[in-house]
Amino acid sequence: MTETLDRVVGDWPEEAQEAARRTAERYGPPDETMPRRLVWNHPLPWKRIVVNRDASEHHFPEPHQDRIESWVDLEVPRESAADVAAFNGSIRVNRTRGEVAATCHVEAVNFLAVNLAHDLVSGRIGVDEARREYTEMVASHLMGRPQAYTSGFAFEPASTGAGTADEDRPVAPHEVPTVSARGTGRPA
Amino acid sequence: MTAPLTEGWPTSAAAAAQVTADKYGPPDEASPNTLIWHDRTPWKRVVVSRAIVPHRFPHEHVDVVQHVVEQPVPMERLADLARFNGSVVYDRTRGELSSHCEDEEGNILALNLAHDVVAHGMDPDAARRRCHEAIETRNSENRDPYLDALVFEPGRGPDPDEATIDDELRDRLRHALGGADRPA
Repeated sequence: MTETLDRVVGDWPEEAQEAARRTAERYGPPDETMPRRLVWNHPLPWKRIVVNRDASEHHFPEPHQDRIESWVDLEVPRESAADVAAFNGSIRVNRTRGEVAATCHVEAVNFLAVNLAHDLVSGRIGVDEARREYTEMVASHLMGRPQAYTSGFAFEPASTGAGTADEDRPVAPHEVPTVSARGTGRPA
Repeated sequence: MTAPLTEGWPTSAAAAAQVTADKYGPPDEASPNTLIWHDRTPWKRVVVSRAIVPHRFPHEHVDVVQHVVEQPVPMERLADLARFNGSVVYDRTRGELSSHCEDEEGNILALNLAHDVVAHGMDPDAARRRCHEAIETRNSENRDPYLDALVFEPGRGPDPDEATIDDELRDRLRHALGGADRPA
């Protein structure tokens, strides 16, 4: 890690330091540093990654601590929001912004969560299938078998934003922080 | 107080930051795009962002400040919650319910109505109508009390879910994959 990053996360729990270090190795230093969180803007293919000092306990599909939030533009119709939450409680849907975040302890599993959420929203699978596929693919990943769904997006994220502003009328992409897109993201 | 922190921000975002700081003091965390206040009763967190988001409900405005409470939402009420307001977000694992609006009273109103939807079975369309009507009372003598304070007591409700990877699955996968575990 850089000296600056070391200083920011020096008093963080070891697992949080490790999450920050792994993210910085892949995407470069964070764009925003705060005492409890680091933010990378446009770490392609993600829209935003946040590494949190403080974790939340999550037991699905096996006990771990959620720390890495990965955000992407994805429209989730209001009738699908409950299914997404039932599939995985660590996926947040902000319908107005047209954003979805998956939070886990490793980025690869966030790709998997978002890919299966997309499958759920598009009707390819139901909640039970999504949970079963997630369980099996996470187990395979932990056994050292990377798969397409844990390596990148299996769909094309909305390039012009997915904000709905309510009443399902799309609006122009909202103003985002003026940070130039990074080119350091590893190809999906 | 927040002017040096919000230099170059849209006027609405900078104003929201100032109002929040006037009420809760200086932020606990600040970056060029975000200010965060932690543990300001009744809020678990207040976040003001430079990135403003257009929102048409209950009237045309921009979402610029987010207020977060700890509040469990039963799974069977999530569908109605989503129908109510796209700027109300539930984080099931953390047990956090948040609203993102133009100011604090808008978020108080949205969270009170969200609570009515999830805890008392209020129809989401009725909640949307009440939201429209309440906003219209902002500057009247008949101001809706739902604008002024939370009418429920926030309560902890994280939902860690359950483990689904077990030894049987690991054995089955190990057999199917034809080898021993490798490091993740």
